[in-house]
Amino acid sequence: MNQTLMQLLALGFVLVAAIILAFLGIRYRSKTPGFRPFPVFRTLSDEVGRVAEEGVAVHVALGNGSLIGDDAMTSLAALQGLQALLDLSAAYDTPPLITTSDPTLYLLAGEWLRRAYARIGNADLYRPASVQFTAASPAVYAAMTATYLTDGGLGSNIVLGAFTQEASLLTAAAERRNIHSSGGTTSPAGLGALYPALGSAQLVMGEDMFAGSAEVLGRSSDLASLGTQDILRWLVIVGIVLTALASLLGVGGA
Amino acid sequence: MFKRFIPTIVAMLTGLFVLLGYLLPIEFLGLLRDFLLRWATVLAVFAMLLAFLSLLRVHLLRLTRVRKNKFTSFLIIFSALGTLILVLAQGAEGQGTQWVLHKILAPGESALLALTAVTLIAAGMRLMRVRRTAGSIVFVVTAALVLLTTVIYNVYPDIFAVLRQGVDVLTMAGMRGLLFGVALGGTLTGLRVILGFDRPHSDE
Repeated sequence: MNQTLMQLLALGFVLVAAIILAFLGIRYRSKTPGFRPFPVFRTLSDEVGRVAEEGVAVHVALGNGSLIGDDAMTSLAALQGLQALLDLSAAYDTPPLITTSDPTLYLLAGEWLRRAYARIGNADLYRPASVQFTAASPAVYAAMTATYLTDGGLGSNIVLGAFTQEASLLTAAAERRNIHSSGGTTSPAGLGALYPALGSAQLVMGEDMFAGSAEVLGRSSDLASLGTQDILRWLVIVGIVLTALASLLGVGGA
Repeated sequence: MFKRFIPTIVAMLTGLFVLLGYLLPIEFLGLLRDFLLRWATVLAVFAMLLAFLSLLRVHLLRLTRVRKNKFTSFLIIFSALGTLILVLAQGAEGQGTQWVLHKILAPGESALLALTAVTLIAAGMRLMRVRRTAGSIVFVVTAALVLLTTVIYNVYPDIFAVLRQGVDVLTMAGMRGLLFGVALGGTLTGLRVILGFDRPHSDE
């Protein structure tokens, strides 16, 4: 299959996705659909109240996903899933400690936290040090952030974003201090590192990362995105089965 | 009004042109895509400068206000400024810069990544002690199978050849399934920004 045909097929796929997204977005304005629950995202904001009672803070590790790289959408989805937590933190004025190893994500996370304060009319209370760029490389970032966890003052550890195996340094440090951890990522290496530490109940796996905004915000566009994702998944499955059958029957080449 | 709409329109158009630059075989769109990506890279460099300054500020504050780990903060400030001076004086390809990269940074990172093997084994052992669920057992069995078909396979390739083939197929299928889902989620998150449903850059 030549490159032009591949490009046009991809364009067709994106157009179909856009049409389904727009259609479902309009439909879900009047009728809220029921999707499978993603309880991890719901519990994230509960952590704010829990740690506020203990007089400590929530740590949010956003990982290494650059906004101009392959993991941009993972990082954006992680921030969307944390929206309720940021709003609640601003309302209680108990800001989380947000760490990242990517400078573009550092700026966006800072802006999102500042806007959470601004929405409730307390922009003056926003403290820029709540969002920290810890190191430029993933392994050093995880090691440096692990020292924050062992220093004390943190009562919850949320590891949500683009990670690989270095995430285990963060969860191991949290475990040593008996700090509750939860989170999720999209890469197989990151999931392999997070699963033994968090278990399935506290872990967001793979594509479920993109369901955070639908679960937390519940806007029609977020729900439509989730619905479109489900429809496209079936289209891809049908496509794979048809291609496999065609290959078995010797239709359309190898 | 301008504060809300202009960033949204700029983001939508930029996203749309970059997407079309990849998906349509038109030379002009390809050139426009490269031009916009170069701009994004320049902006990322400015973001790096701000992040670097923030790192220095945080650790200077830690030096003056926090009791614990003052030496760590001092070391970070010293090495950050030292490296900056070295790169400014010699450039990224300079002898000193390359020495720092190959003799300090690369071995340090390798050591940290090697440490993850220990933390992963500890986490796996804790998993079996604390959470003996069906999922945990499947996880440990899978980890053992992967270990058998990678490390042990290298020693006894004849014995584990068939097992390795089976594990390879299952691993590939699982990873492709996971990545398909992530690609779909990423596509739709991007489309929401391009269609203006989401505005991560400005208030709703």
